[in-house]
Amino acid sequence: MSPYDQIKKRILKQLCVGLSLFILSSGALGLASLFLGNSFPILRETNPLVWISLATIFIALTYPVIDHAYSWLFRQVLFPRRPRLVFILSRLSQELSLTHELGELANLLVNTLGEVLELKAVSLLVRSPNRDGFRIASAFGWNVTDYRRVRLPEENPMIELMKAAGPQVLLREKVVRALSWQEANKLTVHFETLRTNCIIPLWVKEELIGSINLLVSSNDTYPDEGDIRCFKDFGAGVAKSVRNALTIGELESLNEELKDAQSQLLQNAKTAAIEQLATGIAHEIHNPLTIISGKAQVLLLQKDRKVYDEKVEEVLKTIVQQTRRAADITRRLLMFSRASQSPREKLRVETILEDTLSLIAYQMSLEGIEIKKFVGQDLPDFYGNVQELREVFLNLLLNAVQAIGPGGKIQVGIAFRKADKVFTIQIADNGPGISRDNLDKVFNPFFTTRPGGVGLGLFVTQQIIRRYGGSIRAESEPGEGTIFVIELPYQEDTATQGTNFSVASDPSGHNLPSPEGKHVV
Amino acid sequence: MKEMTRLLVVDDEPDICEFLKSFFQEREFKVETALSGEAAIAAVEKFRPHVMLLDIKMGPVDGLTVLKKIKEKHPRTKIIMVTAIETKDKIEEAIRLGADNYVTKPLSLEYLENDVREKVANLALNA
Repeated sequence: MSPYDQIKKRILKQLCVGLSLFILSSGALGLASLFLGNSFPILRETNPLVWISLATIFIALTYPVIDHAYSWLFRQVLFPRRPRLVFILSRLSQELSLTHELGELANLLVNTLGEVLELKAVSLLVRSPNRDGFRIASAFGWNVTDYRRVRLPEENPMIELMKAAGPQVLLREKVVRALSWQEANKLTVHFETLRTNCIIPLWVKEELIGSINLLVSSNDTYPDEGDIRCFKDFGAGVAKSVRNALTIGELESLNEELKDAQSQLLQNAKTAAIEQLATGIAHEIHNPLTIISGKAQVLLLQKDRKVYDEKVEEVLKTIVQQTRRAADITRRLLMFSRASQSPREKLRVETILEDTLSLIAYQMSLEGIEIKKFVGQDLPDFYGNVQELREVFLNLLLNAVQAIGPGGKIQVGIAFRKADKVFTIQIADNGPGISRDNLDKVFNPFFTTRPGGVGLGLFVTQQIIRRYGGSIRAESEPGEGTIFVIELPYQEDTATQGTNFSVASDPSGHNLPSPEGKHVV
Repeated sequence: MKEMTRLLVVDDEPDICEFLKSFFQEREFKVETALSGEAAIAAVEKFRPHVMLLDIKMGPVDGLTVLKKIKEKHPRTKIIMVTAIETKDKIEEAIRLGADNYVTKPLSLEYLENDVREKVANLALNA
């Protein structure tokens, strides 16, 4: 039933009332002049003014009665409201039971009720999943910002009232009438806040999970006893649907958490496997390396060097150096092993960047590489391990240096985002970029495109960043250079944290917007 | 004649033992080797070394257990731990148990020789 039908109905009713009044008044005046003309000479007058005034008096007296009679006739006989109400509510109830998303369900409910029952306002109040109060899931006839602000704690008088009343529909008039003047006054405010004069509470078993709050606009549509019974049944059905939607919502978010935990576990398992592998390799390989390097050292330590020429000495020194380098690979793999974690202290991120830059400044000046540095205002202290952070900067800077070659440019930026307390560090180069295929692999262990490279730098970097609960990603477009973006959450004092490292997942949703057209890992 | 310094090399890798033995023998040390923790404990009683080079990772009796037992009984024996990898907690544990130093593989022989000689000199001073 649309509002236009209602208007038509109203016009029809007014026409009927008008016609009836006209017929009745002419009839009544005709009869009056016939029978009472002898006793009241005035009724024989032909002056129309007299007739008009008499008709007006008659109409004024009979209008309320006639109007009421027609209202009753329209509502109960010609256009009975209840069967329609029952039909609409049961259809809606069915529709709702098929809707499993709370937002969608709430919108459908309030909009349908609001439109069809011609209500001024409807809202669906729902208990929050962590059971610390109630909020409005959706509303009709409200400002969006208004209803989003409504939060009712468990001890709110309205909630207590609903809990006390059980599954009864609460009409504001009845509730207020039953209370003392003062109590009623208090409660009125809460009815106003919820913009309602008719509350259908939603109960599932013994638990109040919310309510449908209607604001009925006119006396014409004010619910009677029969309507209230319909509302009560409707409420029971809606309660089940809302409960289901809530449960499904909770399950979905739990499922998400599980998925995250699972991928974290997988990540940890991978890390643990590599750790185990590295420890095994270290023990198996370092022994033969010790002997190779040792024999070479023995020869180098010979007192009588005359038996060797310079070339042999050079070869021996290379053997010693290269065995040391081979051993360093397993050491770097174990950098992120839990056992070799180093303590954290208060430090300045920009100072560590500065130190690291000075380490490679000479190499960069030789290759004519230009480096620009941007350090944001008001950076707080960071609690971390100097070696680890230096390793991060060094790996990324060397990566950039190797990517661009002589004459390239590198930009380094450090900033602190106060909103979510996150350090953002960007290292950008104008090198050849990384192909889409390779971009997915840059953080994999032993992945390298550089001849002679080991492929551990970015892997170890990622492991370190993750240990601080941060994230690192690479954005690149072939031919347009590469940006590495690190997000590092602000760390509390180590005194409270100890060395209890958590391998947190990437804080999604806090990512910087990525430049358009670049692939993001 | 001056008494030779007695050095006990403990490592479960025979090649390492042999290599270190020949290296130190050439430098006028009296060297014995042990290939396990148990053998090391027995060798200490017989050989009474001044200095021990002790590998941490050995099974079933590892270097830390040997270290603890020997330091309890012969606290004057200087013990240098040898590790394939610097595992921080193992090293801290070794130092807590009284290890005198630690070196990592592959070894820098020059450093190791100097360190052993230094330990012997300390022993002589405190004798």
